[in-house]
Amino acid sequence: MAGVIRTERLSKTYGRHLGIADVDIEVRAGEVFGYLGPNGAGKTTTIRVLMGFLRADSGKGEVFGLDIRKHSVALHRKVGFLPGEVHLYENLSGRDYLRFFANLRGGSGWPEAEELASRLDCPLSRPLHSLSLGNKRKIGLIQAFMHKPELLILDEPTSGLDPIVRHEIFRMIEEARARRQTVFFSSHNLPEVERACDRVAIIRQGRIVATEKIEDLKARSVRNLEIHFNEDIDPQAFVSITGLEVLVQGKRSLQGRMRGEMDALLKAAARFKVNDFSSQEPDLEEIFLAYYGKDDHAR
Amino acid sequence: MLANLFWKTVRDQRWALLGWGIGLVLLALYLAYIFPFVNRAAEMMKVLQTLPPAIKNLIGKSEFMATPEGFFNLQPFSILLPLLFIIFAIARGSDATAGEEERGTLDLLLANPLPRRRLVVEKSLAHGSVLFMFSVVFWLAMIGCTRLFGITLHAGRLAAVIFSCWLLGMTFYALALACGCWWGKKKFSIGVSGGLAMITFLINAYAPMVESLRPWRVLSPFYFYNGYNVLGNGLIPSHALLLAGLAAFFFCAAVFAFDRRDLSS
Repeated sequence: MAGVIRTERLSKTYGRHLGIADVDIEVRAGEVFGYLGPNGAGKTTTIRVLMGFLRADSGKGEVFGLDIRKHSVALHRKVGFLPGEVHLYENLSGRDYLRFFANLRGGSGWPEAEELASRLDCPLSRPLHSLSLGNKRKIGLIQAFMHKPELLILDEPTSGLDPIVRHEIFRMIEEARARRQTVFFSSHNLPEVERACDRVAIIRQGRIVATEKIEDLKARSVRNLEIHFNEDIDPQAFVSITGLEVLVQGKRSLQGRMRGEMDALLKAAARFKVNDFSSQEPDLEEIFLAYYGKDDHAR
Repeated sequence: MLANLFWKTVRDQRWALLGWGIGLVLLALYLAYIFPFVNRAAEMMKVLQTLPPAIKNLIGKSEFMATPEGFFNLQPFSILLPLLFIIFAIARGSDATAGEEERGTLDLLLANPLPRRRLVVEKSLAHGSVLFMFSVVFWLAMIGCTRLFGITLHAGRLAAVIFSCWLLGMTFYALALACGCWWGKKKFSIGVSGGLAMITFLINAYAPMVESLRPWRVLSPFYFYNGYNVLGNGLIPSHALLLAGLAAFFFCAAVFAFDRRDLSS
């Protein structure tokens, strides 16, 4: 499969501060590619370099085989973009804003914009300055999707949105995948990436620490667990469970960390009367430490 | 009105166009109304003659106050109209790219297949057109109002001085635009262009009286705008060309810088 996005040792610094260093990414046609990292890791910098808003200090980047520096306009024809922070023309209504953006692309995407607005329950007739942040973000999403671009570059697309709209966005991403559109989206939320993506690149402190298939990531996924029981439990019941690391063992409770699938653990717990079960994603820093060690910049 | 960036930019100025248009018509009406009083005020002429030469030169040549060309050259073409045009020009020039960048709207706009240089060109054309519309409105208002009060004013030379003022405005527009495109800071752009407008105005105003300033007068756009009373003597083509060239130079610098610079988010 042809590479839609391909970067080679892409680097960018802001004065003395590192933005990204030696970033190598290859996104294949038709895949949903996650770009995972904590805030400040370099996700937005990478995206802004890809979009031609920032000039890389060194390295190469191509989108659809077009050099990101020399052919940014041709590239933008094929790309729908959502920035991390959406700032709109506040004096326009949503309808006028989207019509203007459709006109900048030769009028394409207008019927789709109205359809997407009704799907996301986004008011188009009100002035943009009167809309909530969530609704402004929806306008940003609509302008990215409405012209059915070959590539969607979405910077934290679900940030600031309620769960219903988030769900709708994942459906839109799923539909884009079905239409053979390629999606590159950044997030600091592991479950989101696991839910939507085929592959993921993980960035930390400006460097890519891993690029993996989602199945591989899931197989290594670590979750913090806490189980409370209504009866005394036999600790031996949990000893042989692969991937379970028991941190605190009580008479009627168990706290620990689980790597990989939960099936065996749930079956073992079900042998006793379970009062409460909670499972939480660790934050990204914990994941990095668990997966890649403290200073692993080498991969 | 939202067919492209040019029309969107013009649309954004529609209230300014209305407000400034009404203001310019009222200004023309006011000046035409007061001219007969000034003309008849012989006492005032005597007072003006007693003013120190520096003050007389700063506000205009008092011996011309009795003629329509002299009076209107003093007011509005010595200070008021250039000031109004420059205020509008610097405000819009500094906002064209730097304002959008600071408000964060530039990322989404430039994510469209819109070359950066076309953005600068379309916005500049739109702002230049709006300033030109102000010029036409003021010219028509001056013609109408002076005729209303029976004042004879050469329509061609009136157009020439207003056109020259438009060129002056566009020079400072392009300067503010260039500062915004180079540094991406709106306030900085306003500060630099506004400061230069003030300094060059003062150089031109005092150069006739201050020997040491005289050689520097040719550095002032105000000298090329109306240094030889365009309303009385007609436009000097080389001066107009020089202003146009200066505006074109700043404009090219703006395009060059904006095409190559990192945009802040």
